[in-house]
Amino acid sequence: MVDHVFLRILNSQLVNICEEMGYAMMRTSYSTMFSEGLDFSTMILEPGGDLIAMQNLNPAMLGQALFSGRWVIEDLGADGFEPGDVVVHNDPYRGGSHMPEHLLIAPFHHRGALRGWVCNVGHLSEIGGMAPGSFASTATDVYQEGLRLPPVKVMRRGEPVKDVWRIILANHRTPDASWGDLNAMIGALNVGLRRLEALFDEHGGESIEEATPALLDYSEAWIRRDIERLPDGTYSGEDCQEDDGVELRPHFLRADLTVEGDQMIVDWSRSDPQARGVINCPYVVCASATYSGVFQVVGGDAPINAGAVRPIDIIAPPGTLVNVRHPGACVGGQTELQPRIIELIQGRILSQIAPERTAAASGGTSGNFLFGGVHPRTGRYFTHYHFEGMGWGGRAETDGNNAQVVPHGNCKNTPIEVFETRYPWVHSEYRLNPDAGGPGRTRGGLGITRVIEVEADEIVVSALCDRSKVAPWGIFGGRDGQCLAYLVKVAGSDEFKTFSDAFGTTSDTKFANVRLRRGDTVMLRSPSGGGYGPPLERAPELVAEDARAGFLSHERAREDYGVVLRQDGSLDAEATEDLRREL
Amino acid sequence: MPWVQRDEPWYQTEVEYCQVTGQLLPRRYWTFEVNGNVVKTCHPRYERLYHEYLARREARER
Repeated sequence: MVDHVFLRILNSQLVNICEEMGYAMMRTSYSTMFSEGLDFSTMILEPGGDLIAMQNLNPAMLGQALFSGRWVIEDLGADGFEPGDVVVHNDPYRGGSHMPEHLLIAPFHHRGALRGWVCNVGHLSEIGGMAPGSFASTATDVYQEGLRLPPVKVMRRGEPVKDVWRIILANHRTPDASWGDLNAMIGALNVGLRRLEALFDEHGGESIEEATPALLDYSEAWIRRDIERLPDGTYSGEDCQEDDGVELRPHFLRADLTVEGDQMIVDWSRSDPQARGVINCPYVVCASATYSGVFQVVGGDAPINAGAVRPIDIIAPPGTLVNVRHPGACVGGQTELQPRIIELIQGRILSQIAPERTAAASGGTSGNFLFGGVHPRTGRYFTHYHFEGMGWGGRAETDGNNAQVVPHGNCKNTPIEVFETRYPWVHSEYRLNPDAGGPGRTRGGLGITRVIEVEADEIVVSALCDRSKVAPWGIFGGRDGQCLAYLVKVAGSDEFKTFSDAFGTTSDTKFANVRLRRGDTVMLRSPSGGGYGPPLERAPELVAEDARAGFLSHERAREDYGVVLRQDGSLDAEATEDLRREL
Repeated sequence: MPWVQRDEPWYQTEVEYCQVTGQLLPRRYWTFEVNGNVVKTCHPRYERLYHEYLARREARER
């Protein structure tokens, strides 16, 4: 019997190693994807490939942590690895997520024996393909999305495998950034290996190997206990992507979630067939999102590892939106489908049985905006993958967060100072959107507006986002949040238009390779969160506070919340009471 | 029934999926029989999921 105190200490030590690996990536990367965006995760696997600890910086990568490394080990065979080897892998059709995200894995040997694995997953800002930034929103197969790497060694016994590096660097538009970021990832693996060695020296290999299955069982028992508290039954829900960038029609996700004792089955079989465009996802993305949606409601602080997911079975038939078959395009699955799967699970389905632990819809899109060109100051080619902050949904007790990147990504905005230093754009506006949060007892968080002007002869832009027509939904009487709008004003014009109207793109929100010229201006207006509970139940003092903060106009306070504010912003309690009685 | 090793040549790029969950089957799979047909799955425990959930659901749909 392994002591639970030791288990918790060991878990913290393993997670700390993952965190230190993450800091190494953040501090040594070339692109802003790791240093500013934190678009990566780090993890430790046991010898068989099961996840035992991770720094869950980016919950979207949970599926890779659970499956991708294990499948690489099974694919190549553990005996195919030697100390100092590192394998890279980004193939959605061999267990990856979407191709910009690269998994690196290295074996950990202690006193001559294989004792585990260190891994990281990082989003490279540019991997080739038909559009700068490698989010080709109009792609119809995976070959248009960038360089696809099945599991191959980039390091052999500590030395670079130069042939593989040459192929990678020749196919990326910004090879310096890829070189730097991949080496940041390799450096982080080396940090992990050194720390694991010290940990094994401290506790002894045998006690850690004895504790590992117990740690997984501990998490499993925790999750089972929580699931058992939910009422048995089957609960269903659906949501949609507005279009796939190729055809202007919605594509539906549908899930049936069955609770049976301490076990849960999430069945995606009724989802639409895979799309022609990029909004499909492979199994690991569906799994990431499904587990994340469930863990927002059950599990609390349970250590997330391979044991934690044993009570949750997922069925995702190949050939559907949630498990794309080769050669379907799938770069948008990770950024666009994943948040919708999470919110469908927690906000549409589990809200039926655990309303106090769920939330209304967030903006539900990563708001991807990609661009590339030659920088007029340096003469060098640049690309950038920009994701936008938005409003989160209202929760049982608190308002949704304002201007925060999509919940499953957990990434950070690139600060304007960094943005303008690195890329030839200038900001004229960057602000919260008043009156945009879905009204509710708790209000939806506010999206933002960013207005940027091109300061180069030409920049090629692409976008991959959603929620421009179907608003982020409110729940339990809460109302919808504001939709997204990505608009453009061509130099010399005084009117912002959709990209479809200005450039003839099929979709307003999913387009690739639009050429903008000096003086053209782009407005990125991100969506806002839905409200939770009836707006008339919101405390009038909170409504007045929102108005004072500039989040809400006096008109909307009156119409949406039945709250009357005096000209000086103070609350007219008597008039409010009268108005609310009338509504 | 036993684990079966996929014996694909190294240059083969086709992949196979678990017929119960949809997970990837990188190198091996577990098999069981249903009405004379072999079902390939990624783990023995999904044999139970097949019988207790999928087969019942499919029967209801029929």
